[in-house]
Amino acid sequence: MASLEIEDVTKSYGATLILDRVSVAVPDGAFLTLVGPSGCGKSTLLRILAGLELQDGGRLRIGGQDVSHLRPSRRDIAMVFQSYALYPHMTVAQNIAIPLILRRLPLWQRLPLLSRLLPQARATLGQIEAEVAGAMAMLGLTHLADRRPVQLSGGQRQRVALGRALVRQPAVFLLDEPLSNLDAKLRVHMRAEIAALHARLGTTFVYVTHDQIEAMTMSTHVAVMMEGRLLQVATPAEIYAEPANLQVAEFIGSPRINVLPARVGSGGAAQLAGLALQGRIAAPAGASVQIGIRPEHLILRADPGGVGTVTAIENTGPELFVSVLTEGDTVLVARLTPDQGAGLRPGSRVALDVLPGKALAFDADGARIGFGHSVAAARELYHAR
Amino acid sequence: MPAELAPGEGLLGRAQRLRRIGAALTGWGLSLPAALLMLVMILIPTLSAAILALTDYQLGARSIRFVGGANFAAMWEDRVFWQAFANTLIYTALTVPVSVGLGLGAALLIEADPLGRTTFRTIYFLPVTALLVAMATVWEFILHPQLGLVNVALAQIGVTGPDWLADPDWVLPSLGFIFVWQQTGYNMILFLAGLKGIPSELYHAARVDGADRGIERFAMVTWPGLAATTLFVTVITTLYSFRVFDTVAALTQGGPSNASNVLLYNIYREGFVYLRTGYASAMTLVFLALILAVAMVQMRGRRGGGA
Repeated sequence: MASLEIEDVTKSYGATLILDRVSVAVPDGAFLTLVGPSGCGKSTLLRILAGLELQDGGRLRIGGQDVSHLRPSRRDIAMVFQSYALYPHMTVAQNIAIPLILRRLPLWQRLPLLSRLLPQARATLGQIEAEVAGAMAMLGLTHLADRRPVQLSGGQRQRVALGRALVRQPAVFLLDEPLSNLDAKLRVHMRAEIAALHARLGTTFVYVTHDQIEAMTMSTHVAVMMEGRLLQVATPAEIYAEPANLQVAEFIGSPRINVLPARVGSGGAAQLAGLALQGRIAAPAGASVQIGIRPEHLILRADPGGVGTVTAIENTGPELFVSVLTEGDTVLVARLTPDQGAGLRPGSRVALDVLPGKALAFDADGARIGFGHSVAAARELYHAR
Repeated sequence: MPAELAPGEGLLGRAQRLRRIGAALTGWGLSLPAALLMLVMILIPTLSAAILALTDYQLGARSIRFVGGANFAAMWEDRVFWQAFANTLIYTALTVPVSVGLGLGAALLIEADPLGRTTFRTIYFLPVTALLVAMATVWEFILHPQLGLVNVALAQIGVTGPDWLADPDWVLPSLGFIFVWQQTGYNMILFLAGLKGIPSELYHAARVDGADRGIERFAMVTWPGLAATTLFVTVITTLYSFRVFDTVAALTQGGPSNASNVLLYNIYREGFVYLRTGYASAMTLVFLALILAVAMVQMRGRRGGGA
């Protein structure tokens, strides 16, 4: 168990900058998720944490100890790979035992015959067997101990990979898109299982995914990365409600946040087509800004004189995603309960409104700026950048 | 209603039957060319050899007589056959481990560093593309007792090299060396393909798990990952090694005093020099049985190691 600090880590391959001075620190026991579109550098950062690749610059500290230049085996980390990376010729029990055997038995004692003959090696092996049995029991793998990886389902392989990682009780767990090879149903199940495992072990987890749902549901800290830069690190709730910039706001949330161009009027009022917004934007009059509105903050009222026209309704069961064409050829998406959307049909005219205080404002470069209620918070975010 | 449906069902049943027949015909039609080729190229010659092996037929002779197992009995007593048999096994035992081992080593070295990968791959593979009969003349010169590259080089350090191709103790190793020279590149290519099939994440996992030394990662990942390739390469090399003929025919003609006589060359000599077709056919069957036995090892290994 240990805290984790990543400080100014930089990495490039040739002329391509993969990581641009990435810094993030989380306390002991945190579940840090690195999330971002593919190619954003999140996997590279994880592999640098593991020591599988060396950074060009910057430091890594685990539990306060500088591990920047240590080999993977000396960093007290364990890793779960996207493809699980189980040794195909070994049984489940052997796969889980490997990290312990490699650490506790010197090379010559691992020879099949010697390990049986030497009392000391035999004692060590007995201890290892007990620990492996414990890990297998914890993950419900006991009945599969003698199977080989090919004989296992995807979910079972996933569990073996977790077992191999946790049997050593490392200071930090690294997980590289561990659920991406599973089918949708199993993914939801394993998501809960990994979160429960984290709660039980209390170890620091670093989890890489491109799936925002995984990031939001499992983590204590979400780090959004894009094009090699860390855009924001915060709790899932904060990332969603108070995104530091437009890229984060657009990446997190499904359906995607509605973004409308607007102009700042006198007194900081927002001027945009088809919508009236309260609050003052913290930008000089005349500046172009962008307004972000989450689909669930958009209110639709059936109104023959309304400015919007419903173009499509997607029914997911518990909620409706209603697309509305409004002035300026903009399409907005609203998330409604079936009751709220009961009267709407494609072609219906609607009036649009926004829940008070929920709209977000961004400047022309996408940085978050204050808007009404959240001026102070937004300023803070802006200056922290 | 059932009465109205009946004709429809009849039509449907007819359509299903027609489709089944069509599918069967298509299957037979598609496999026919391959089946014909196998019949003409493999089964009929093998069958002819099996029949000839039971006769005293001589190439060009007008008479042919059924002699039962007499040819096999003669083989049992034939010292030259047994020497050729033993020579073939010794040659195989010499060449297979060396060319498989060198092929693996070359593949590992080439795969280890991208620097010059294509160049080295080409260099090692070059001998495979060379025509062995043509290259044999080059080797004859290299191994020449007085003028040859090898003995001239040895003389520089004060060693008098043997007459590589005329010394009964050295002729098999010398021929084996030429085989290794050619086969190593082929084995290397197969091993390179095998190495490509090992996921790199396994090496990463091994490093995280604590396999710091290269030898540990080789034992944990590379060697098990190459199991199927190694079996295949060994079997293929063994089969090629059994079939050694061209270097023997071009360089030594089985000499000196049968020291480099091998099974295939012996068959050739009996059949086409002494014209004893019946006897040569009997030896061919024995040779075939040997090849088949090795091929079975491969097939069994493939079934067993399906993982």
